[in-house]
Amino acid sequence: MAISRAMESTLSALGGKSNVPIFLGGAYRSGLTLLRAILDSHPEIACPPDLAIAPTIALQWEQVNRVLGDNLALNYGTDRSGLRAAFAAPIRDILASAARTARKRFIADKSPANVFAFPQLRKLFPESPLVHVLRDGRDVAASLLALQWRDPRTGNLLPMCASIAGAGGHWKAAVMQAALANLPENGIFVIRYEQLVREPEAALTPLLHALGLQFEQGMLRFHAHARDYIELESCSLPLLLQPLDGSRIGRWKRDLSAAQQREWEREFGQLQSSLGYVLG
Amino acid sequence: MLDSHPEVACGSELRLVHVFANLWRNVRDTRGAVLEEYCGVSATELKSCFAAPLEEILDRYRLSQGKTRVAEKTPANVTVFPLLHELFPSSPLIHIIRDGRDVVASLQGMPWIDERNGRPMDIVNDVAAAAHTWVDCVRAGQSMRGIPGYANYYCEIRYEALIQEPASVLRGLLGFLGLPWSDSMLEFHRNPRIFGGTEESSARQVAMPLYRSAVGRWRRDLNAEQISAVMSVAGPLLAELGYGH
Repeated sequence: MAISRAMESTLSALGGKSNVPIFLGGAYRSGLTLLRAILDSHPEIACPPDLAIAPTIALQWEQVNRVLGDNLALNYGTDRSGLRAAFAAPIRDILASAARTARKRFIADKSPANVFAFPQLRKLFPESPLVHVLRDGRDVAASLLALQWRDPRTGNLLPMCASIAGAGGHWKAAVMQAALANLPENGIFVIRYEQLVREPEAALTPLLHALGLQFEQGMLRFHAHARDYIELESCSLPLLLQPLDGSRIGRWKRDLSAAQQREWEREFGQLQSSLGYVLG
Repeated sequence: MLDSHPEVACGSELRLVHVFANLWRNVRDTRGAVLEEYCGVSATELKSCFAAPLEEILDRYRLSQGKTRVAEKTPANVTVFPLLHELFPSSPLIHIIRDGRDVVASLQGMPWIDERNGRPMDIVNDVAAAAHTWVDCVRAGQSMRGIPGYANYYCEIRYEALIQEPASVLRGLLGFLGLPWSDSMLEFHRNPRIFGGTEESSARQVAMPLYRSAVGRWRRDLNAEQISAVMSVAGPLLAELGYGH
């Protein structure tokens, strides 16, 4: 986890600013829902189920900003910062309302797709912590290939659930997007699934400290609330119903065939090892 | 014309209203139930989250112009009129309709680029595509007629009538808006702010008095093949609207 000194200073001053949302993103099946449940069990943090609102609006802002340019400043007295504020407002207000409902000071917005809009979210929310959840890509692939997620328009399996190439392509795109956005000034927190499961306090403390918060033991009892969003998180339910355990780390050794493992290593091995995951 | 009324500020195209309306629809349709059930964000609150930023921009503009009312003119607004009625229930929605053949003729050759691919938009070099767009826009606007009490907040104006009898049409429009008559509306071309807008395709035309030569321009500007292509798409709606041969 690396953040610049300037960002650290900004974040350390956040305490009490409930209107600064935290954005969580990463490849599907990287442990985002688990992290959501853990954060939501903190007495000061609300983390509702996947809304996928922020990336849609942030990417739309980028397009409008490019197309309209400075016309708004010229014709409406609304400059580019005003345009940013206009697009940030619905995201901020929706999340603030959810925080009020939960009676929590902080709100974390969890959506895998956030990672694809980190650069835009950074511009719309300069003070917000951006959190990239990273997991061994082979475990991500093993998890995706066990799912039956289908394109509702065609009925076909989504590419990420249909092949090593599709699953790895999705994982790689998310990792590369996060890496592109992970400039010192962007202050992106990287939480590894493997550390979250094995050493949750160490994995979460940098983020919590930046918010002026402490790790709470109650966060590890997330499974007591696992059924809050049961209809929305059924794909992750087995994981949410029990205390943290590391049994899913390295599942690829069981779940991927030898041919699939070779294909993975050939196509994604270099990226995998550059992230510190041992091959083979 | 509206901007020349002493009480109305109507600047150049904001081009944001339909964007926010569509974002709101997308969030409402895909996440509205989740937001309401699990996050305590009511449907009313959700609407306000998307309406408020637009209100702020438009109100700031209104104040900067020293007017009491603000109007936002962007052609794409018509595609989301029913959504706008939900977001801004007390806002009047004005639908201006022109002979689709003249619309198609006017569109041809416009230097409009599709931002997605950097190529000219279909509607500026394909008369059938332009006719489809005209039909879709008119139908979208007229879908307001299906809403009970629509006449209180939805009004249609014909371009041809506005050109030929501007005072009469404008009096009707002002009555609908609850505004008094102002002679300055007919002197719109003397409005010094008319050049304040940027890159609007009609900037040159609105800087001069009303002229009628654009009514029926399709007879000059479209060839027989193009007219046939337009009629095959727009013929039924043109007839429905009373635009004859």
